[in-house]
This record gives sequence, C-alpha cells and structure tokens, in this order.
Amino acid sequence: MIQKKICLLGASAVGKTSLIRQYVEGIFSKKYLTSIGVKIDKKQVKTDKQIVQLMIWDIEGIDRYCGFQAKYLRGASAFIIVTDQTRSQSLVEGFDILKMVQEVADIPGFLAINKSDLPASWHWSETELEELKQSFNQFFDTSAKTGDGVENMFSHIAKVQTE
Amino acid sequence: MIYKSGNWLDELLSETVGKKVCVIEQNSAYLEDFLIDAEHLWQTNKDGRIESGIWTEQLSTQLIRLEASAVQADHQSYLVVNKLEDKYNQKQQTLQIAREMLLSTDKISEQHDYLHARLEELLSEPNGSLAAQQPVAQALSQTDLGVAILDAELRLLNCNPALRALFDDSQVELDLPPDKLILELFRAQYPECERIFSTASSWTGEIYWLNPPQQGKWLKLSIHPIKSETQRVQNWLFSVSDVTQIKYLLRRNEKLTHFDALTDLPNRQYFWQNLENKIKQNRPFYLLYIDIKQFKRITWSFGRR
Ligand SMILES: Nc1nc2c(ncn2[C@@H]2O[C@H](COP(=O)(O)OP(=O)(O)OP(=O)(O)O)[C@@H](O)[C@H]2O)c(=O)[nH]1
Ligand SMILES: [Mg+2]
Repeated sequence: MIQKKICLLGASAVGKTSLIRQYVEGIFSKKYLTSIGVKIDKKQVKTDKQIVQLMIWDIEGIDRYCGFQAKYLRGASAFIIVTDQTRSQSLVEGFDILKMVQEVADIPGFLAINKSDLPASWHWSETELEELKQSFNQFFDTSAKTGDGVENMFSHIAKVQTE
Repeated sequence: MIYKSGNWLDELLSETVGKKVCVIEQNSAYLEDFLIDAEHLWQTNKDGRIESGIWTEQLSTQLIRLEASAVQADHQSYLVVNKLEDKYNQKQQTLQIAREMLLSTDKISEQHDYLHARLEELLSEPNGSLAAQQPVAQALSQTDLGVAILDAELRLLNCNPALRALFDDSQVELDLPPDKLILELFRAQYPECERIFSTASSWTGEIYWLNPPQQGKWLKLSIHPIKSETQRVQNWLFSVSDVTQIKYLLRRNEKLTHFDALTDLPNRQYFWQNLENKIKQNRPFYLLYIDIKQFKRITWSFGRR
C-alpha cells in the first residue's frame, strides 16, 4: 500500500469539509461550521494497480482572516482547489490560490466546482471558465450534498497517483 | 522524558504509554509533519520556538483540538502538545461570524451584479418604452432585491414590490414614495450625489434610514446609469438591499475581538487600535497608564470557566 497526501484548498465555505465528509463518511450537513487549522482524514482506495491510502488534508478556508500557508503542502502528491459555483467570487479566489500553490509546488492540481446541486452563479462566462479549467489537470463538478461526482473525483486522483 | 496530563495523549500517542523514552509512530500525521520542522530547530541547538498551528484529531470518543510547539532552550529540546478548549472555541466563534458575514456580503453583491447585467441587457434593447417591457417587469417582480427604474430626469418609471417592502413599516407613515426617499437619503448623506448624476457615473454604497421608533436600517444602494448607443443617459437604475443584519454581525464580531470575554472590558487589541487612531490624528494627547496589581489572580480563578 502506498500513502498519498492530498490537500484541499479554497475560499471559506466552498465545501471542503463537506466534500471530505461525504467521501469518507457518506454524511452531509446543511449547517456551516467553519474549520480552524487542519484536519486529516484517511481513506483507502483500490485502483487497478494497487491500494492507495489517501491522506486528505482539510485546510482552513483561505480568506482575509486566514492566509495561504505554503507549509501545509509539504509532501503533498496533489491538491484540489474547491470553488462554490453559487459564488463567482470563490472562483476568482480559487485562481489566486492556484497561482500561490504553483509558486511553491509542482504537483498535479484539480478543480472541484462544488454545489452542483444548486443553480450556478450568474456571471461565469464560458470563456472565463474554460481558461480556468485549462490551468488544472482536470476539473470535476461535485455536490457534497448529493454526493454527485465526489467519489469519482477522489478515485480519479488516487488512480493518477499510481500511474 | 515524557510528561503528560489527560488521557487523550495516551490514545493519540499510544506508543508513549508507560515509557520514558520512545519513538513517535505514525498515529498523528499532522504531528509527524510538524516534527520535521521541530527536528530542524533542535538540531541547530540555538534557543528558539516554533508553533505547529491548530489541528484536529478524531479519537474514538472525542474530537480534540491541538496545538504543538517545539522549543529549544539551554541545550534542551522540548515538544509541547496542548489540547485547546477555550482558546479554540473563542477563535472558532469569532471566525464563524466573520465568515458568515463574508458570505452574506458576497451573496448580496452577486445579486446586485446579476441584476444590473440582466437589466442593462434588457433595457438597452432599442424598442421604446422600457418600463412596459414584459421581461423587465417579470424580472423585477421576482427578485428580492429592491429595484427602481427612473428616467433621465430621475422620475420614477417602475419599482418593484421588494423595494416597497424595504420601507414598509406599519409604525411609520411614509410621506414620500420609496424612490424619493432613497434620493433624499442619498443627497443628505453623500455630498458627491450631484456629481454622480451630472457625470452619469455609477455609485455603490450604504445609506442609513432612521425610522424611529424602529431600529433604523442600513441599506446597500447601487446606482447605475443606463445609456443609449449614443452614450446618452436613458435611465437610472437603483437597486437596494437591506444590510442591517450584516452590519450587526460585523459589530458583534468586533465585539468578540475587541472585548475581553471574562470582564467584558475592552482588551489589548482594542487599546492598540485606539492608540493607533489617536496617533494618526497627529495631535498631542495624554495616556494614563494604570496597572492593577495582582489582577492575574482574578483571571486565574475566573478565567478558565
Ligand atoms: N447545497 C449544497 N451545499 C453545500 C455543498 N457543499 C457544502 N455545502 C454547504 O456549504 C456550507 C459550507 O460548507 P463547508 O464544507 O463547511 O465549507 P468549507 O469549505 O469547509 O468552509 P471553511 O472550513 O470555512 O473554509 C455548509 O453550509 C454546507 O452545508 C453542496 O455541494 N451543495
Ligand atoms: Mg471546513
């Protein structure tokens, strides 16, 4: 079994904690409880080649109250930037975070466009979105609420790790 | 040498149970990661201290919040792992409010922006009287943002139920229709008002509506000119939303960060902020410093509850 560290990053309240909770425990809560610091969850994934133990780092939302901390990325094999499709601001912030990550780490990055169960924000133009998606290895539409796309995203990332 | 109190550490670092010396195993990935930095510090053999930042561990029966420090002092190396309670809760509460507030602000500006974009699109279509346009009327009746459309001379053409609802208050008899009231508040509170209209600019800001005996309302107001192809102003678009709640949250948040939880007195941060403000004013002032002897006793005996 190999172990891989995956970091979830993004603005606050985009659904980082909820995505992990859905993936690891199959639970979703409507209530928003903001995370402080870091919490690490583990989950084993069987890929075609081997079993991967994902160490999933849930990192406090990056906003005006908590800055980006490069040290959390040490030893990471991949990162996911989570955005909330009902708040276009979270996409702008996600892009800023991406730039900061790329300055310190050269690892695969994935984009989660979360809350796909809700209507999308009004002014993400297709071209802007396309440009953003290009900057990532892959993007996923996810809903931590219904679970849509969540399992798929993490297992894809695990699979990439074994290639 | 290992010293500990509380059995949470036995569960987290079971390899330390009953031992004086041990190797920390892989139970806490976060701590393990921090030990890399800690070892760096210890190896330098220079006095110093580094902090791990807060993290959470799920034990079998409880969720615990921890913070570790590595210390090097007098050729001794220490690792201190603290279980946080009050400190964590206070920080969590403060940030909870702050972040909920960020969310509401985001949501409101999102609505404003969307509405402007849509209306601008609809209104700039070149077919006559806009107020009568079906899509506009429909969009307006559905949004919960207060909207008024005025002509170039600031006469009301159309306003929606949400706008009337903002000022609807059975206790207060309004002597002006909502659009006139907004204009009046805007003129009274912002001297740049006339310049906005004469230069056909956009403006966004907050106006305060005092409506005794009620609490008063903070309203976020956006004003946008809608221009024809020849760049002449055809209409003015006002959109208004109630941000009183956000203001209130903001204040509560300031209270949490600036007042001591035990005594409810202004705290150190409050003091420094005030001092800074005073200094900025660039005028001489006096500072009276009073030290209460043995106040620590009070904090120690009551502060931990
Ligand atoms: N409808 C819907 N709501 C979601 C979804 N994901 C998260 N939420 C809600 O969004 C809010 C924030 O979710 P969290 O998972 O706490 O967000 P976070 O990114 O961990 O936030 P911070 O820890 O503050 O950075 C909560 O109220 C969740 O219930 C989703 O896919 N759909
Ligand atoms: Mg969280």
